[in-house]
Amino acid sequence: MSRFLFVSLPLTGHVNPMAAVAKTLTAQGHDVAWAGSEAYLRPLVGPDAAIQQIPLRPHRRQADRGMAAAKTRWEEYIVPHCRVSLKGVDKAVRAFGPDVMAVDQHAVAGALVAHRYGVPWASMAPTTMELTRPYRALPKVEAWIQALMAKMWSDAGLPGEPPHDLRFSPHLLIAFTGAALTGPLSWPDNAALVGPALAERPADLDFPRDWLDPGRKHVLISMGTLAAENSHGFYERAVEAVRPLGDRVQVILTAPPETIPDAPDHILVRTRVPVLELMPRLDAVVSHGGLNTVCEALAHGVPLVVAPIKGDQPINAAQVQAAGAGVRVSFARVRPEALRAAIVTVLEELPVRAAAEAVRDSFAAAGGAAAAAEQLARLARDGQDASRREREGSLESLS
Amino acid sequence: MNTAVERYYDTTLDLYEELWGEHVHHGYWDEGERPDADGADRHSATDRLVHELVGYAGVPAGARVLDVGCGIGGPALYLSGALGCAVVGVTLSAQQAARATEKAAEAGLAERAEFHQLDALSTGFPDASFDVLWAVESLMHIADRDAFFAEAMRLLRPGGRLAIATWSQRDGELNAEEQDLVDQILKHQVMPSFSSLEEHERMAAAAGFTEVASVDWSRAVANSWDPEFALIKKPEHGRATMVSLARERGADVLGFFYAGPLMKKGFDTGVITYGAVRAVKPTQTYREIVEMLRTVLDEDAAWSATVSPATTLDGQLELESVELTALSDALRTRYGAHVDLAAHVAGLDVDEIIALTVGDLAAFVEARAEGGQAGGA
Repeated sequence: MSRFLFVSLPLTGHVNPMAAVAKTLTAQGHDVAWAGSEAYLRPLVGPDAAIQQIPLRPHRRQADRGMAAAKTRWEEYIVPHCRVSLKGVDKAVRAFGPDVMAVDQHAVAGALVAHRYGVPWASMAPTTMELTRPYRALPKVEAWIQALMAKMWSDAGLPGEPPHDLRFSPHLLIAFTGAALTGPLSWPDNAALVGPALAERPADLDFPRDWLDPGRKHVLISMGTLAAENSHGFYERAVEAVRPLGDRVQVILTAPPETIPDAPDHILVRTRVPVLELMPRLDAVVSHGGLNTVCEALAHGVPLVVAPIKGDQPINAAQVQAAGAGVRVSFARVRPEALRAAIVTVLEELPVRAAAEAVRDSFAAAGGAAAAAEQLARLARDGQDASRREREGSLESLS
Repeated sequence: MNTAVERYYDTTLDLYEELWGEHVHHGYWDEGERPDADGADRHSATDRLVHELVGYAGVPAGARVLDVGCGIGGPALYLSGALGCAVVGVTLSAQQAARATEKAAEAGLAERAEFHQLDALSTGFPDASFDVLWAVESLMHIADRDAFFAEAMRLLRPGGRLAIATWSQRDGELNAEEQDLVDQILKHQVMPSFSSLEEHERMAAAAGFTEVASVDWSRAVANSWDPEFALIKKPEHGRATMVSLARERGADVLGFFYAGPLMKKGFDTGVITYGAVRAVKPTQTYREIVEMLRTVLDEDAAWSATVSPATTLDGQLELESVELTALSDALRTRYGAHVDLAAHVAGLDVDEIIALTVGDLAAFVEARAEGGQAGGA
C-alpha cells in the first residue's frame, strides 16, 4: 500500500475528478491525504478524507474573458496561489511523507515541492486548458507563461531554471478526457487519458422528481456559477429559445430562481440540480462547456449545445462540435432563434446522438477514476522499486 | 440660403469686429481665470479656444480645411498661418466673406485662405475634398443638422476629421421657464434651435462617423458673457444709439445687444451649454473590416454603429479563437495572403493581444495591403 498526497485548487471543477480518484485509492486501502483549505475541500472530498490544512481564501476575479482572463488566471490566481500555498504544501509533504503526489496542473506549488524532495508526482488535468497547448500559435504568450513558472521556481529557492514545463510532470500526466472527444493530439509519452472520473454525490432529496413528464424530452441548461452582471442576458435569451417548445420539451435551468421571474410552466428553475442523477433522463444539455459538465453529459451519451465563456470552455466547445456530439454557439451573442435551432438539432438529429454515444463508449473503455488510480499506484510501485534498487545497489557497492 | 442669418451678420459685422476683434466666437479660460477688466486679454482667450479645438479634434498641420461659418476669418487665418493649412471658408454673409478676404490679403495669406459666400449644405465642392471640416459656432444656425453631418461625411476624405465648437443646450427635457430662455436667445441670435452635445454625438454617429466624442466647455467659455468682457452695453444705457442703429440697419441688429445677459443666465443656470465635438470619417478598409467582423460574429446591421476603432477585440467584442481564425481567413481572401492576421497576432504578447482594437486591425490591414502592392511592384 502507498501514500498519496493530492494537491488541488479551491475550484469545484478541479477538485471533483481528483476526489473520485482519491476515493478509489482509499477504497483500495491506500493512504490518501489532501493539501489544501479544509473549509473548501471538506464538502467535496467527504467527511473521512485526511486534509493537511493550508489556510486559503478562495478568490478569483470572474469578469474577464479571452486573453484578459488568461492574464488574470496566471497573474492573479495561479502565481498568488503558488506563493501562498508553497509553505503549506511543503509542510504537508514533510508531515505525510507521500510516495506519490497528484498535482493539479495549475497548483504549481505541488510541482515545486515534489521537485524539492524528489517525490514522484503526476500532473492532473481536470481541465483541457493546458492539454491542447492553446497558445502554441502565440509564442510570446507561451514565453510569458514559461517566465512566470521560472519565477515561481526561483522564488521557491530552487536552483537554476525549471528542468521542464511545470504543468507537465516527467513521470505521469492524467487527463480526465478521452481521444474520442479531443481528437488526435500530440500527447506526451506519459499521458493517460482516463475519461471522466465521476463520483457519487449526495442525493438532492428536495428535487421534484415527479415534475418530469415521461412524455416529453428533457433539456438541462447549466451555465455554472454565472454572475448576473456577466451573463450578457444569456438566461433571458435561453428562456426565449425554449419558450415555444413546451409541448415536447421540459427544461431544467440551474440559476437562482429570482433571475428568471416569469418562467413558463415547462421550465423548472433551481439553484442546485442533481446533475449526475438526472443525466440518464436527459436528452440534451446546454452548457458553458466546463469539462466536468461536458464529460458528465457525454459519459451518458447526452449531446450538448455549448456556449463557452472562458478558460478551456472554447476548447471543449470546439471539441464537442468536432466530435459531432453537439453544437457550439456564441455565449455573448447567440439569439433565441439560433439557440432554439441548436437545441432542436441536438434533440432530434440521430447522428448527433450517435456521436455522443460513441464518446460515451470510449470514455467507458478509458476506465475513469479506476484507471487513474491504477496509474498512480503503478507510479508509486515504480518509485518504490527504484528506491529499493537504489538501496540494494548501494548495499552491493558496499560489499 | 438662410437670409435672416445672412442679414444678421451683414448688419452686425462692424459691431462684432469693433468689440471682439477678428474672432467672432467665445473665448476659453482655465478654471478660476478671469478676463481682464479692461478687456485687453480677450483676444488671447478667443485665440485659446481655436487652439483648444485644434488640439481636441486633432487638426493636422498642412491640412485642407473647409471652415463652415468662417466669419471674418479669425480662425482661418490661424489655421492657414501658424498651422500651414489650406483653408476654404464659407459664410452666408457676403460682407463677412469680403472682410475675411481683405484680412487674408493683409496677412499675406491670400494663397492659402479663400472665402466665399456659400451655404454650407450646398457648397458644390466635390466628394472627399477636405482633410478637416471645421465649424466654430455655426452649427446653431443650421436647422437641418442631420443634413450637415451627411454633407460633412461627403466632403471629407476617408480618415478626415470633424472639428466642431458649438452653442448647445443641456441634454434632456427643459421646463417651460428654461425653454422660454432658450427661445429668447434663439430669436435674438437668429438661430433655429439648439441641440445638446449628446445629440450632436448621436447625429455624427448616425451619419457614419467614428471616434465620435464631445467635451463640455461651458465653464471654460462662460466668461465670454461677463459684461466687462463682452463689452456690450445694456440697451437702455444707450437708447438713442439703439434706436438709430435699428432705424439704420433694421430691428434684427438689437439681438446683438440682448444676447449678453440672456447667455449669462443660460450658462449660470446650466440650460445653455457649450462644447466641442470631434469625429472621424472612417476609411474604406475600416468599414470593410467592421462588415467582416459583423459577418463572423453573426450580428445585425445596427451592431456596426456600436463598434469604433477603439473597440477591443478581446475584452469588448470577446472574439474567440475560432472567430479570429474566421476573420483571418476573410481578410486573406479579401486582401491577399500577405495580410495574415493570425501570424500578426502570433507575434504579439499578452498585453498587446488584450489591447488590440478594431482600429489597430484596420491599420494593420492598410499597412500590409500597401506593403504587398509595393512588394509586387
